[in-house]
Order: sequence, then structure tokens, then C-alpha cells
Amino acid sequence: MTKKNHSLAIFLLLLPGVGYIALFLSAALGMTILQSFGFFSFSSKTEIGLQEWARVLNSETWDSFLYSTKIAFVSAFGGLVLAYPIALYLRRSFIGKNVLNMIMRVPLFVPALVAAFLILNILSFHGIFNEFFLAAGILKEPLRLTHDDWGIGVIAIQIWKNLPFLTLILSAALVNIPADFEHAASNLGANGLAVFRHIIFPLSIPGALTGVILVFIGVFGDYAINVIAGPLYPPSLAIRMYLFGKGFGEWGQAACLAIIIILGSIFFAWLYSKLANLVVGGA
Amino acid sequence: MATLKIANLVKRYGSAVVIDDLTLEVNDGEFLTLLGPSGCGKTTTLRAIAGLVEIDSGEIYFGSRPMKDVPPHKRSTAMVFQSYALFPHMNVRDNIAFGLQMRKVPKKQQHEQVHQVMALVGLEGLAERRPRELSGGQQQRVALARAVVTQPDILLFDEPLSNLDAKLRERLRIEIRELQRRLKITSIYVTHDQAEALVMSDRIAVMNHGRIEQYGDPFSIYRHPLNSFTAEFIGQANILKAKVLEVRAQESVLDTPIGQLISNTRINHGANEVMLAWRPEDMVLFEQNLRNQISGRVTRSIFMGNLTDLHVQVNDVTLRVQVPGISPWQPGSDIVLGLPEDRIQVLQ
Amino acid sequence: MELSQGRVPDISAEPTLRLRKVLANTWRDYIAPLLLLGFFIILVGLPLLMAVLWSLVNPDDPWSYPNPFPPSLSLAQWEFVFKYTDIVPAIITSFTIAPFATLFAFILALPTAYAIGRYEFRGKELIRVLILLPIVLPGMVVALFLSRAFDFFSLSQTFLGLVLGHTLLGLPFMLRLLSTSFAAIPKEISDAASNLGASELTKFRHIYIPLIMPGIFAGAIFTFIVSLEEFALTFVIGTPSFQTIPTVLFRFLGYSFVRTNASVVALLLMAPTTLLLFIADRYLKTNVLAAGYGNL
Repeated sequence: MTKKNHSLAIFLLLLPGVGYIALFLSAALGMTILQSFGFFSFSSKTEIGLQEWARVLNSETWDSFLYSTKIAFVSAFGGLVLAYPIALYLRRSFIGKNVLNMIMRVPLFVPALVAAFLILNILSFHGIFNEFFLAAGILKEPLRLTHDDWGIGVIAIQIWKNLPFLTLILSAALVNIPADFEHAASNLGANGLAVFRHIIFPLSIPGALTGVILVFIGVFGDYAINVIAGPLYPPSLAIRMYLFGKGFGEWGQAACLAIIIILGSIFFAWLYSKLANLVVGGA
Repeated sequence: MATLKIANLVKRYGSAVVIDDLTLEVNDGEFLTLLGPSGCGKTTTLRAIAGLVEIDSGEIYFGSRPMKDVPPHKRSTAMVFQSYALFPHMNVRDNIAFGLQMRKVPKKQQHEQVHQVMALVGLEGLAERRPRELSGGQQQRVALARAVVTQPDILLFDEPLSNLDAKLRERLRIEIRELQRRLKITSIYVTHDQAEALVMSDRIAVMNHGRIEQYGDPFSIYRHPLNSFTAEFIGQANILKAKVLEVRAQESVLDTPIGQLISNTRINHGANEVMLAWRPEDMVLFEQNLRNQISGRVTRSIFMGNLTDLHVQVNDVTLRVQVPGISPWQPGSDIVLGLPEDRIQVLQ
Repeated sequence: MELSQGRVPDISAEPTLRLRKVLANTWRDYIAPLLLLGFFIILVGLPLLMAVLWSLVNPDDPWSYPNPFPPSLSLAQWEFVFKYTDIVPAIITSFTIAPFATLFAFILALPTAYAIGRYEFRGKELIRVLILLPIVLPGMVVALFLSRAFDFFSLSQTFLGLVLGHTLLGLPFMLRLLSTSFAAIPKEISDAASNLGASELTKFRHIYIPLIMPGIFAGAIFTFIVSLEEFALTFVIGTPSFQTIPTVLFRFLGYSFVRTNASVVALLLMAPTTLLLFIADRYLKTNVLAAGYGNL
């Protein structure tokens, strides 16, 4: 087959899968970008320009942005902090390891909405968490853990859901660190904590990074879980976007919010990569 | 510095005994090599000394201190790993300084010591480089520097030169030995390369299946192997079964598959059958004065540059003979070899 | 030549060394695994247990503090949900969209995965990233603005629109799993077949397809699950004309939060997906999760 025919053949083969995705994504993204500049508003008058952006960049949007960033950050990095000791311990073999692996993976199989409900149930005002600590005398009155201003409920749900994923990613990263590095460090006088701080942590961060970024992006742009368990104010960026779009019909502003979410995700992904490089470079 | 004593060390992995009742003593400042084939337990022994491997029974003493319960980071040992194990996310200086950093040596002093040791091993100017930017030989030196800078009581080497090419290996062998002599640190060196062991060591412990087959200085190990394993593992050997015909005052007469031989060892332990060994280079040509004369036919002549390896068929036995330079004896020709009486080793 | 000082402190005078070692070992070998196991059993088991219990509460005997367990169990809640809510049409819708989406995704993915798995070409890395975009981009963002595009083409509130949307979200998984399977076929086998006279098409039918069966199975299961669990897009372009199990659950968690109803629907949503993944994990020797989440 000639080179040209070969290229053509490959192109045709790629077309169904890649073409389908490209088609719909560009339709969606195209819509978003155009609407943020005033096209396709389907409403009263069609103004082209930056007025939608002017309208959307206000203090409420900023509040939502801060809130979304905060819950995403705490969920992703809080999850990572929890995942580290677990992944480290999972490197050895011990009694009940298989059982533990099975149980630990369950949240991976649980759909997001179900996970939201399960944890909401536990943490709600009259849920088992509050009841238990009230009965034990540790709490005098129940804690508001869902629909609270800080977003504790959302964070709890997200960490519960993402812990197995982060642990798995981290385990994979840890496995790639040759045992000799730890032996060498230990041999040179590093105790357990020092080995972690100087060797294991810096060398596992690049591998764990992808997982952390994915979790962050997922929480940053989340809609459903914030509706179910999040605060009334500020709403997450995605909720705000939905409200403006489907709720008020302000599609221009909704589009701007969508772009803020996307750009924000890209920005934080870049930021965390840079931070990871710093950590690895130093140590 | 310290002396090292290992007493009745046993280590099992599952049902396999990797170290089998090992006892060893190393003197202060000595360079000891653990030599043996893969799986003989030499690396495990080394790691047990470092504390990286838990032992099942026996004891290890640094000086008079028992070490069994002492964790690796509290032992005054430093190891040079086969893979070098240089930390990829640190530059050369930080790698070398790591041990000092763990010992909370003040920064300024760290710098001085690192600088000194880098000059010692020949790494000047490479402080800022990352391990992946260095050649194999340079990485090796960094590993060495990192171990040495902490002034450990015992230096441990786990086949550090096996990843390098032959020329580099030869050069670094000597450099490591020189360094060790200067610093006078007790060192244990693990290798399967017998040439390395012979060149570098004060003493060699030849290991097989977790036990020490023979223990002594390089000369004794080479010239006077005590068993067939040592005879065959170090260098080449011709090993034959022999029957003792007669034991005289200063010598013994033996009946071998290649004829009668006279050895200057007086075999007095009443054994009837013994094993004999001698080196290929021990046999000589054109020495009619020797009493041991062996006739055979050359089956192979392999020219190796500085010597020729001859395979000589004598009755049913093929002897290996090494002669310097080029040999005129071609396959098919008859040859007469002399074997000096003092070169025949009687093995146990 | 002398190196300056910096020695390890003398530890011969440490009588507690053996004790500390034994303590550390006990912690490491016994206490820590038990604690870890207990932690996870509570973390994972308790929420599930609560959901199950709440779904079995007897409406005549409400469960409230201080009872640690519901006073009596009954299937009344399940009956209620099935009889008096729109869960049944929702189940039907869910299980109708899923097979169509899986089939479409398979048909679209097969040639593309083949190309990605067995050929090198310019821009391959870019394409790999592009393929992941539908699942990396925030769900509601894609959903909301895809719906605008759908509005434009009158695809909103239609079954076809839903199937197309679900296909889009399942494609990345299908593509990933299939292309990995294709790539795993050793080149020697392909070369041997060519050498024996097989054309590309013949190879495809008789060699590749049989060899990638596990991948097809895994891809199908994953896509099916993705479709069953899909919420954002279905919510935006499907409701109120179409309800799926997730949208019904969402409704029960939002304004009309009735804990018992929500429990039932939540369990309903979890059951098939857990079963499918279990089957997949058993049937395929390879780790399905690794294949799905891997190669990130």
C-alpha cells in the first residue's frame, strides 16, 4: 500500500471514534465560547462583545470560585494525606490483606450519587454520626455537617469516594521506587520518618500527581454532590453555571462560568505540576 | 574502626537455608571479600551485617557490641550498592551529604567534608550534576564517596563494579583498594568475580550454599585450595580422583587415571582414595628433570593473546594446560608435560 | 589524610533496644492491620449498612433516636417505591439506553481502537489526550453546553439524543480498553499470519477479534455501567420527558428528601453496577479497574 493510501486508511479508521468525540466536544465547547461572547443567546437582543464577561465577574462569582477551589483542594490533598499511610502500609504483606484490598475498593464501584446519599445519610443532623457521639457524651449537640457553610459534607463525600482511587494511584507510584533507595537511605542513617520525607515522598509525588489533579478537577467542577450536600451559599461554580443557564436563561453568563471552570482546571493542573517539580527538585 | 565477628549466622527464606551456620572474623582495617557464585548467600550476609536483613539465629558483633536488635540506621556501616542507588532527585553534592545530613552535621561542615571526599575520589566539578547525567564510573565514585564520607566502622560493597566494562572495572578495583588502604576502614566486599577478589583482598572467604568453603589470603586460596569447589571456582583446575599407593617420609605416590604421580604431600590421614588438583599453568614443557611426566595428545589449541589454552587427552581424561605465548603444538600432535611435585594439591 | 568528625553516637548503652524492636514489630504485624481493617470496615460498611437498614424500615414503626436499629423490618418501602413512584419507567429507560449506547460505542470504537493499537502515526499522543476529554472535562459543563447544541438540532428531550450523549461518555472507556487489547497482540502473531498469506481483513476477523474478546467484554461492561450511572447529561437533556435511575435518585435527594425512598433507589442503582463489575473482575483474568483507570 502506498504511503498516501496508508495515511488515508488510518485517517478513515480513526474517523468514527475520534471524529465522534471531536464533533460533539467541539459543538459543546464551540457553543460555550461563542455564547460567552454573546452569540446564540436566543433571547431578547444579541450583543456581541465582552459584556457577558463584565456581568459575570462579580463578587458572587468570586465567592463561588473560592468555594469550589477550597473544596477541591481539601478533597484532593486531604484524600492524598489519608491515602499515603494506607498505600505505604499496603506494600507489605499481612494477615487479612486480601480482605482489606477488597473492602477498600468498594467505593470505586459506588456511583457518585449513591456515594453522596450514603455519606449524607451518615452525617446528617440526625444521622448515625451525630447520634453516636451524642450518646457517647462527646458532643452536646449535633454538628451541622451537611449543607453547612464550609462544605464539610461535600468534602467528606468526595474523600470517601476518591480514597480508593488515590490509594491505588499512590501504590503504583510507590512500587516504582526501587527498594535499594530506601535501603541506602536507611544504611546512611535515616530512620523511618526521614526515609519517607527525603526519599519516598519526593519520588512518589510525580506518580501521584495525575491522580490528585483528576480528583481536583472532578470536585472543582462538581454539580450534583454540591446540590445534594453543599451549602446554600456560596454555590459551586457548576451550580451557579446551571442556575444562570437553565434557571435564568442567562446563557451568556453561564458560558462564561463554564469557561472559568475549564480554565481554572487547566490552571490548577499546571500549578500542581509546578509545585510537584519544586518538591522533587529540593528534598 | 572496628573488628567484625559473625557467629553461627543462620538465615532462611521459607524452607531454603540461605546462610548456613556461618562464622567469620574480620580484623580492624582488613579488606575481606566474600566470593562465590550467585545464590551462595554472600549478598544476604552482607545485608545482614548492614541490618537490612533480619537473621534467624546467630549473632553479629561490631567490636564487642551485639548488633542483632540494632536497626540499620543506627549501625555504623555504609554500603555501596550494585545499582549504586544514587538518589535521582538530588544532585551529587546532596547525595554525598545525605549521610552527614542524617547525622545532623552542621551545614558548613557538611560542605567541607563533601568537598574533601569528592577530591579524594576524583569527582571535582561535578557537585551540581544529577546522577542520570553521570557516566557509570562517575556514578560508582559518587556511591563510594557517599559511603565513605560518613566514616563508618565498616564499609560494605555489594558487587559495585559488575555494571561496568572490563577496562573501567580493572581501574576502579585498584582505586577502591587504594582508598580503603588510606582510610583504613574495615571493608567487606562481595563479588562473584574471582580475579577481582584476588586483586583486592587481604583475605577471601569462598562461599557456597550459605557456607564458607575456604578462608584465607589470596595466595593460599589460589595455590592451596582445600576442596574441589574452591579449586574449580578460582581459576581453572585439573581435578582427578587418585588412589594412594605408597606413603613415604616426604612424599606420596598416587595412582591416577593419567598414570602414576608423585606429590610432595605426605598423606597421613589413612585415606585410600583422595582428590587431587593442580592449575593448568602448573604443567610445563621440556622439563625432563621432573619425575611426573605425562604423555598425551593435543585435542585443542586456543590462542588467547598472552597465553595458549591447550586441551590434552590423556587416556580418558582431558587436561587443561596453559602455556605462555604461542604454542607450536597443534591438535593431533603428541605432547609430553611435566608436573612439579609441589604443585599437586590434595583436596579434602 | 584525615576527614573531620561526624560519627554515629555510641548506642551500646541502650537497654531498651530489644524492647522497642519487639513493640515495633507487634504494632506492625498485628495491631496496625487490625486497626486498618476495622477502620475500613466501618468506613465502607457503615454507610452501606445504614442504607440497607433505612430501605427496610417499617412505615408503621418509624426508626428514630435512640434506637440503634430500626425496631422492625419490612419491605414496605421497596413496595412503595415500585408502586407509587416513577422508578419502573426509569429502570426501563436506563436499561434501554445502556445497550444502545454500548453498541454504538463499540461500533465507533472498533476501527479507531484498531488504528491506535496497532499503528504509529503523527499526532497519536494528541489523539490519546483528545479521547480522554469527555471524561476529564467537568461533567455538568459538557452536559449543559452540549444540551444547547442539542437544542439547536432538536435532539433534546429525545431518546436518540440521550443515546448519542451516553455514547459520547462511554467512548473513551471503550476506546481505551479496546486499543490496549489490540496493542497487546504481539507483532509476531500478526507477522506470522501475514507470512502465511492472510490479508489484513482476514487477520482482523480470524485473529484479532478472538484475541481481544476479553477487551471487548471489559469495554462493554464499562460502557454499560457508565451509561447506567450517567447523571448530568441525562438530567439536562432528558428530564422531564425521560427519567433514569440516577435522575430519580437525584430528585429524591433534592427537594423531596425522603430517606427511605432514597435508600431504596440508591441500592437499586448500586446493585446492577456492582454485579456487572464483579462478573467482569471474575471473568477477565486481568484487572478490569487497572485497565479502566490505567494508562493515565
